[in-house]
Amino acid sequence: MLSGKARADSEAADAGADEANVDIDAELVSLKARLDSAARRARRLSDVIVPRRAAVAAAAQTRAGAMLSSLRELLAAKRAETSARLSLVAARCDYWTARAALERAVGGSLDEKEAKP
Amino acid sequence: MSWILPLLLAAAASAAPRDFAPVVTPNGATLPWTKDGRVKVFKLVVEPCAHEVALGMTINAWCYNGRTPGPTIEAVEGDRVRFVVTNKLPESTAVHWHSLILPNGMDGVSGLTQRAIKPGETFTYEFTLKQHGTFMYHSHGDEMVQMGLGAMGFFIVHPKAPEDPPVDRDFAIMLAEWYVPPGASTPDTSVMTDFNLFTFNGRAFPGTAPLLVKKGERVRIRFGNVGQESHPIHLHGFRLWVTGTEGGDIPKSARWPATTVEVAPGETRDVEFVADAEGDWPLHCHRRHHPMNPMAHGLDNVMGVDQSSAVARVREQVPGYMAMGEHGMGDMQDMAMKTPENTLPMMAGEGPYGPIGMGGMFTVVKVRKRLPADGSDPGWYGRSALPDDAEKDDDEK
Repeated sequence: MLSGKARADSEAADAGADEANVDIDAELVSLKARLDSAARRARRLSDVIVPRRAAVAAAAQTRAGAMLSSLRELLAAKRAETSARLSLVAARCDYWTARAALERAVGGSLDEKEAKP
Repeated sequence: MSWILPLLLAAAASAAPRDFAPVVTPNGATLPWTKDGRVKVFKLVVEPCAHEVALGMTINAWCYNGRTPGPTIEAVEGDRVRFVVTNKLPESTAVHWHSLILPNGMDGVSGLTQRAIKPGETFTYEFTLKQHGTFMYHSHGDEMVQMGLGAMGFFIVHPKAPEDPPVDRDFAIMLAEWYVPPGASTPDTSVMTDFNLFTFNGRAFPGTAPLLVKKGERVRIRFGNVGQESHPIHLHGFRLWVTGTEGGDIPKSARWPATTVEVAPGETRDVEFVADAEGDWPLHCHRRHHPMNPMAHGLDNVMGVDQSSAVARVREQVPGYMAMGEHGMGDMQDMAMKTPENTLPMMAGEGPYGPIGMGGMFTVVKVRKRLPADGSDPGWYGRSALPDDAEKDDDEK
């Protein structure tokens, strides 16, 4: 039979543990969301935006070669393509940073099936 | 294309003897007719069509009987003519008979002289031809779009009395300009001044057919323009006489000699000459950009500018980049630069001595002592003439 004080200490400890669990859950949810978001952003850039920017730059090069547009327009298209590629690098960096943070939080490697960019 | 069969039947029916040299519309056609009593009946269908400007470029045009310009109408002064016009466009239209003297109700102006012909409707025009000359027909409703997409054609009225002297060859060439964004197929009809495609009978060189003439023949070329710009049309090798306008014949005493004839919007011009010199003689618009195919306007001027250091730096970002225009454009045809889809190169055409380096409003009048009986192209003068050099020299003596 616990004394009144001991009972109070135990309940306080349980409450602290529950709070810590809630905090951990919240952090894991946040880290997972960050990971998923970074993966979606990197996929969108690699599958859609970079290929489109590259196609636009290639078309601009064809147009400039046929004197249908200026070097200025070609360089602007190429700049947009390079910018998209830099965004992709940044998004992949974000992904791996988020993944490392999540792995650290769960104390081990994530399943290989986890979303990748 | 339900109109094709009636046209074929009409062609057979209209193959009656004629007392005039039929007009040839290079790359074009003549509208057949049938007889209803004393009335010549023509059928026109105005509709969207895919039109080839030259090999490698097809545009979405609005056409009469599936072509732009529409088939050339030929009749004789005094004829009673009837036009059965069916509208297969997605919007209302009317057909105006440009420069013809006719009853007001037959003038073909949407809303003013008639209720517009709605999509799917047929309207009949009928009048008597009181004049002769080179006239035109075109849509007269939403003109910017309908004419901008090609709804136009020739209306030739031959004189009732024989011509003196008669012509042996009679050609008709409709002038037009378009703006087709590179890579696109539909002309942008909102463009007012900065056109990038210039055509003879809807075709741009090297898609334009040559005009074939026998040496010594009297030739008439009729030009028409219902476009946005004027075109100074120039023929090499001959002195032309300007013999007619959209108002009819110019009196003989008032005709003037020229080698270039300006054809403004709304005008027609007839020129005549005697083809007394064999050869391949260019016929082209003399505005510098008009015998060219698409290129951008307003580019940076790099003529004479050494771009080598800039090119090296650009290639770091754009591998394969080639600087253009430093030494002129003439070498571009040799370089065979790739163009966007459905876009003609700026200049093209191979002649007997190399690239011709032209486009747009350019063709060749081929004058030969003999022409192939089947009407086919005799080839280039430069090569075909070589074995006959001695004979040529005799002629010149």
